[in-house]
Amino acid sequence: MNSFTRSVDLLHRAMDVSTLRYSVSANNLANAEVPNFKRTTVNFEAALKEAIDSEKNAKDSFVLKTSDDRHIQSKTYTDYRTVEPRRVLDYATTSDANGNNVDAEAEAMNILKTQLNYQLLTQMQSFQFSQMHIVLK
Amino acid sequence: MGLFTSINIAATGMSVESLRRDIISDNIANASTTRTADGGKFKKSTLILEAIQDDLQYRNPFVPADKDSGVGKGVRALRVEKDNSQGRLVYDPTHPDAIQTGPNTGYVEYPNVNIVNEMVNLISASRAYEANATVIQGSKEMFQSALQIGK
Amino acid sequence: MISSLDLLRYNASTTASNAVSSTQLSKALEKIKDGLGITNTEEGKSFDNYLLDAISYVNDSQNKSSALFEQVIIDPDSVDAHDVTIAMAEANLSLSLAQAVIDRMIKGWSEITTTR
Repeated sequence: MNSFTRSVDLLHRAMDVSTLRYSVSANNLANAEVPNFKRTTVNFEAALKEAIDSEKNAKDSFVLKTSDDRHIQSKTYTDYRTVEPRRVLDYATTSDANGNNVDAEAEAMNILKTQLNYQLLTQMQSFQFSQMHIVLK
Repeated sequence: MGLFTSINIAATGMSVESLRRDIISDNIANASTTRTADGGKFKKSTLILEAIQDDLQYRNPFVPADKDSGVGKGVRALRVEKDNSQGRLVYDPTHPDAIQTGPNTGYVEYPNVNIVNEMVNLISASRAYEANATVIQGSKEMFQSALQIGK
Repeated sequence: MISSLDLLRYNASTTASNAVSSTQLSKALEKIKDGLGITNTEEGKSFDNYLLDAISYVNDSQNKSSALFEQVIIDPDSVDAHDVTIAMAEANLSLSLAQAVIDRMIKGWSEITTTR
């Protein structure tokens, strides 16, 4: 997979996660007054960073010799395409008197940040395609 | 500095100001309350704020700490404290909560809430909230004009 | 799927090697040099070396922008918005320039070789 298709695919996945994050934040904000409601967050970047770092280190990593499928292999290389975003319930932050831990301002800021992130990602994606078009003119 | 650092910082400011607004409205609503559920007198609450200073950015390692403080990460509410000063005493022996013994027999102790002070605090919390919202607006516009480079 | 840089590189290297190795062109260049009285030309890099240096600069700026994109996706707090957009604009401009130069070169070379 060369760098062009890899970039396009990576940006596509990032945009998917951005839209997921937007709807999760909107859900949190809508439930900001419900008693005993706990907010959810989306975890994606840390797992993706780990997968991409494992690709970079795959050449020098320590490989165990196996002769059967059932032998345990050391984890050398995670393809970043297998990483999925996960919605995680955030039960650890402190909550209000009615058990609700949604902070309305912080959720509104998350929505704004997701919008800006999405705009930047679309710019980057259209940049990739315009580079191709320059040469193919 | 990241993409959204200034937005995170302003968001902490906004949460803190809305918490302050809630505390002020609680104080004002209870300005004439003479008893509380756990038996004591009502005392007004104040909010203690603290600047978030861990992991400063742009910190120069060779400059002494009091000359270069770096860019912090916003503000957080440390705790809500009760102000235990003496409230207003009003002489009214027929009131069910009048003090029965001691030098203040017949007096009722009203909360130490000064409505004018609380209103001024409310105005300043509202202005601070607007200022933080303006910071976020400006940061968003800077971001979008950066996106226009090379378009 | 081939990348834009591969296409450009193919164009550039074939044109450059055609241009420089054609004996008619080198004879013409000799005549021009004698006519203008140019005697001391430095023994520097040849023309296709210059061109391939420029192409590697374009390649570097494209790679830099790809690396920045990955950083934006993985760790949004480590990079600024203007870094990304400036790298994008720079890569775009250098690619367009390289494309324009190569077009001119191809046109010029075909003019020289086809008109008698």
